[in-house]
Amino acid sequence: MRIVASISAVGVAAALLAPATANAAAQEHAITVSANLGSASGSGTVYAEMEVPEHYNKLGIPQKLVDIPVAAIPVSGGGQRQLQVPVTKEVLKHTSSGYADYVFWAVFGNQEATSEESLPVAPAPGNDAHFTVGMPRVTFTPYEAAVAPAAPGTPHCICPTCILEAVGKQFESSNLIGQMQSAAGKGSEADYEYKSEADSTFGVGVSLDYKSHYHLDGHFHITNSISDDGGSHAGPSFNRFIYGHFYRQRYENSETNPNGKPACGYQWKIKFVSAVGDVYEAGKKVKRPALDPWGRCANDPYGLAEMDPSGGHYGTDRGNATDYDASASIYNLTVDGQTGYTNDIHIEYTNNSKLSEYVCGNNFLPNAPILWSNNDAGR
Amino acid sequence: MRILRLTRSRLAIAAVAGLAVVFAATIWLNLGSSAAGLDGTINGGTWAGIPVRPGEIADYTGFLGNNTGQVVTLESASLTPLKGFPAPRLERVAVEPGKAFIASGRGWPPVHSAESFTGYRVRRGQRVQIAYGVEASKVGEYGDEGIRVTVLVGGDSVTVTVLSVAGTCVIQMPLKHDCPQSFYNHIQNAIPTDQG
Repeated sequence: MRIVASISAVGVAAALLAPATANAAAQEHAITVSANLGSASGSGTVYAEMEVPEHYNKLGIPQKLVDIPVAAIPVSGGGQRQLQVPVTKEVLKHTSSGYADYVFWAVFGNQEATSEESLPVAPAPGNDAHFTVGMPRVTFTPYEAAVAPAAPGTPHCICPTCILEAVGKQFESSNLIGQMQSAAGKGSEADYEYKSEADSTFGVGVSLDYKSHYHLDGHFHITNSISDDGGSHAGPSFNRFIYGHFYRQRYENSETNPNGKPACGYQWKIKFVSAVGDVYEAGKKVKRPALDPWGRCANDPYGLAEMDPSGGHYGTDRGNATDYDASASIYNLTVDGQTGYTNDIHIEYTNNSKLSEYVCGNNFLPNAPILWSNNDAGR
Repeated sequence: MRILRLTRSRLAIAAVAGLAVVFAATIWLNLGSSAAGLDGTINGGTWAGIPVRPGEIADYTGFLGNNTGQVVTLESASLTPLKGFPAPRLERVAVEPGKAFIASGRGWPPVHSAESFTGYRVRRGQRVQIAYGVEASKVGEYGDEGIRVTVLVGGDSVTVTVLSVAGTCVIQMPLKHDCPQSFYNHIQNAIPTDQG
């Protein structure tokens, strides 16, 4: 670990704010986020940094994360509020599918909390950020006593640029990314396709310990690390969750105070960094997704899509993300996940049965996050 | 002086012509799939397909959202070709009231309650389901990207693309076999990347 030398109060403040000021001058626009600042009171500051991955290994896993200050945003009081987060030219240089990774620090007196989110800073037709719906949300960790400043009177978040380095090899883990259900007719089929550019969002875990006490610190957006497509084919009466493999990596904050404490908050971070790109169905004995709550599509208040028998096809993109709780586990931390922002995750229904079959969902088609398929008999 | 006057006159004509070109280009650009509050991209990223016999109609559905703030009237429709595929003929078009729609069907009308397309008034904020039927007389694999719909908005005629990628495979009787999956894969891969 590299020890940060003791810095004077003026020097620290200048070091922290100078890049922000410089970047503010290069600000292209601002993105409005809904931030929950929790139980904070009084005046505080939300520091926004962008996280830039560097030094990719053969599997496309970044071996270094560099957190670069973007802005210091004055705030007053806690609770839910909207923040204007600057999007600088530097941020726009480090986007992936229109997203940029931000790390936030909320500092109120000697209390601090953090959050990490991928924000849709450059939505454009064809990229993932284009499909983001609603205002991005930033939820902070519970407040904790801030790490001791380098010198009395200096800001608690003292490192102008935080560097996290990969520790150990990447982990490959299996995670829930979706669900699929097909009708019961002989000849009914369904295919789940996770294309090479498909994306998912998973929680980020941070901790002061190496192996335990990780807690959720926001969400980052990830894409496949390799150019491959995954798919799962199913026959009649299929109803299972769909999983894929993802890489995660543990990083250590390499900046510390003279007192040995991490200079940039949490010493350890575990982050899902990319998807392998495969897709497979849950085992037969695994708990299955809920069936169509309306019994049959004809009763679905959101309507239905009809496929004629003997070869009717309907391929739907997962335009709206589906939330899954407990989709992944990092030591003692269970994180949620989302998948399906793009038109690169598809479910294709084929009706080779002798009766008309229908597709319906938990919202209006064609962008319902969860889909069901059945015939007039609800089978 | 005469030469100067002519030059000025030509300059004026050139300027007017230039402005007209810019104006026309602006209008043309505004006639895209989300022109002037009309949203034809709702079905973007989705596709459908079905095998039919020669001369049999295949039915699909596109969606048009009216966010213009005023009532619009449907006037006419034409088929949008899909790059890489021969286009079938557009034979029929109708409005599907209610919440059900035909994803992939045969014959016409696609639903018993189908309403006439021409003259249909789309209310403010309404999303209308437009069924269209295509046909080809020869055996083969056909594709389309949806339909271009011309509507009347406040007295102006505006054309908007309604996305609905479809693959129609025309095969001989009997319909014992589905179309090749490779055909549908090609259809899916031909979906424009900005279709949502």
